[in-house]
Amino acid sequence: MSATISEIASPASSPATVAAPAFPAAEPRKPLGKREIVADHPTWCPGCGDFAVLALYYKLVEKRQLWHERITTVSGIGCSSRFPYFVQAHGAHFIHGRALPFASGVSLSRPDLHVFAFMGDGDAFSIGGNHFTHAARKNVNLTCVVMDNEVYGLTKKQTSPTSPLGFKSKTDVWGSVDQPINPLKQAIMAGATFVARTASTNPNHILQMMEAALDHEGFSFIECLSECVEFYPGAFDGANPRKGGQFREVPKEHDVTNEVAATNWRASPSQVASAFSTRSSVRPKTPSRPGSTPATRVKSRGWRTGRFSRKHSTA
Amino acid sequence: MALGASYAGRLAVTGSSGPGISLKTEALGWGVMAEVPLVVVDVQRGGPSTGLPTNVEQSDLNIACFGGHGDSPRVVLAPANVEDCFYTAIEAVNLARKYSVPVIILTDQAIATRIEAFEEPALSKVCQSIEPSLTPVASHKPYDLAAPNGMTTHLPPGTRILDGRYPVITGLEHDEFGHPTGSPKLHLAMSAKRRHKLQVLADELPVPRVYGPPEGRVLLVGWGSTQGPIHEAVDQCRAAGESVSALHLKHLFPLPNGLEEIFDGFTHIRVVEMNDEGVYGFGQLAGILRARYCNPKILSLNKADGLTFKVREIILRVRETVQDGMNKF
Repeated sequence: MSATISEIASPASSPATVAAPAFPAAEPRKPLGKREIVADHPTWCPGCGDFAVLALYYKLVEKRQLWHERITTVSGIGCSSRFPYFVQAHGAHFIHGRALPFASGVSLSRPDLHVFAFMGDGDAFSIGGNHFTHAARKNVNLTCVVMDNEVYGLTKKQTSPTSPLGFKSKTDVWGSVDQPINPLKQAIMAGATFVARTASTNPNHILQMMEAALDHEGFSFIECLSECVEFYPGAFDGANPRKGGQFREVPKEHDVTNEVAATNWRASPSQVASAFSTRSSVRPKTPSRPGSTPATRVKSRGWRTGRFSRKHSTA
Repeated sequence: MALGASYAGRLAVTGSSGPGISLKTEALGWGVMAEVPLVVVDVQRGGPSTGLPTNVEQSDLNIACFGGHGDSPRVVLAPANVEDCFYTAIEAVNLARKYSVPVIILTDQAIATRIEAFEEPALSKVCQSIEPSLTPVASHKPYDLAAPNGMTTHLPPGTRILDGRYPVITGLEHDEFGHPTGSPKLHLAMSAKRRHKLQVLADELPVPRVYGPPEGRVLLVGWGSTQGPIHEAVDQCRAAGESVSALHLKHLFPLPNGLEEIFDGFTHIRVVEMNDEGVYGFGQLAGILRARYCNPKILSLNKADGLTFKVREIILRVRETVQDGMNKF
């Protein structure tokens, strides 16, 4: 006798889910404060957008009292992926691009944990591109935060999958000729159930998005435009009101459950693909002669001695 | 994903064939560096590349033992038949958990597609509960250098650590708390820790038993699925009055201690394996054994046509290559 489709889809006949291990009884504890969350001092360059994400993550942990044993912080490779060392929690620093499968493994085998995966644009959209699609498609219960700086910063300025057309870098000395990918579009197309974009210059919005992602059941994706002050300064000035840009949010009347509306809204040319705020308006919209677009007029700040000195805690 | 599940406290078993193993070698190296237990089943097929997807070969031994960049010692086991697969899997899980290291099970297409009857295992005896324990601990060093024999185990996430210092499990060279370091001293100490665990394991491995008399003219050394034809070849040769014995290795990396003594008891040693004789004229296990024991008696008997050994082939080729006769004088 073959099962009907409704039988197959019903939770009762789905394969047994993994049960959470039994927790030892908890005794009353002092509230979780920032002191308990902070670990190593970040090794990022001063002014890096990633500091905002880290600070707001501390804030999130503190505000929602996410005890150390309730969360796991996972990352891939890159500047952003140093994240777990700066947070006092169980963490894992995995290989390049594969933070999401690793996080999926943790999430699937331990439903009692909330898994945060922190990665950069190279991690999520280049080497880990297929993992991103599949984690979104499978709707694995985890929060994926991509700190997108539109450049490979750790390796000192090479073109990343989100670098705009005409972006001059060490790998594209005449300006990038490849169309950048649109992470939000990709996430929505892959079936992600929570998609957000925010910017490191708007801390309130980051926290708001992180809280929403935390409360979301399933795969939640936050793209945080996080400026690389060293190798792509000014990349997101267009989303920063203090630099003459505009931080546009999704209109209140947008129905978040309406995928068609999200798709249509995304396609509207006046509002560059974005679910919650807008991507930098300095991004050239059409391919043009390399080197002539505003985005490529990046002032070189030169090498600053000592910026990348290793300051690892060995304690 | 498997490493993620293992890290989370539920040891994962994953399976693939040669190309999949090649692809995931980077992650396997992470498992060695981060000291995360994992069991990988490699069902070998003809290679390299897409190779002979439905044919058999024993040519993944080198990648299983040495694959990956850097010094990354791991454990490699090879079951000899279907029943052995069952018990090897249990052993692999136990070793992975005890030594916190990835364990590779090298089977091949010849075993994977074989049907054999064996006695029903006493499931109530062999089954064990390996639920992660989340009992709070006072403090924890994930890579404690003071641990006996360098053997440390990770706490699954979700465990409360009372001193508030939580570990990061990492592929970067790390200090005892898992935080990255470039210190030459720590790299030496941590490399030694990872190596030493397997030296301890080698001491604990049982010495394999010789099939046939423990001394004689010819010793056939095999591993994995070739056990059947090799043992039958030994039986037939001995029935014909020839002095032939066999040694079947299950623990390929690290090798158990005590093989030197066994090799000393024979005039000729032939390593029977289904792979190419290589640039230097030795198959993969023969190469490893020669490097390990510096014994010039160790020679290869290879077959790499994607088919399993026939008993006749083994006997004929041993008779051909052992010029001074196989009878014991």
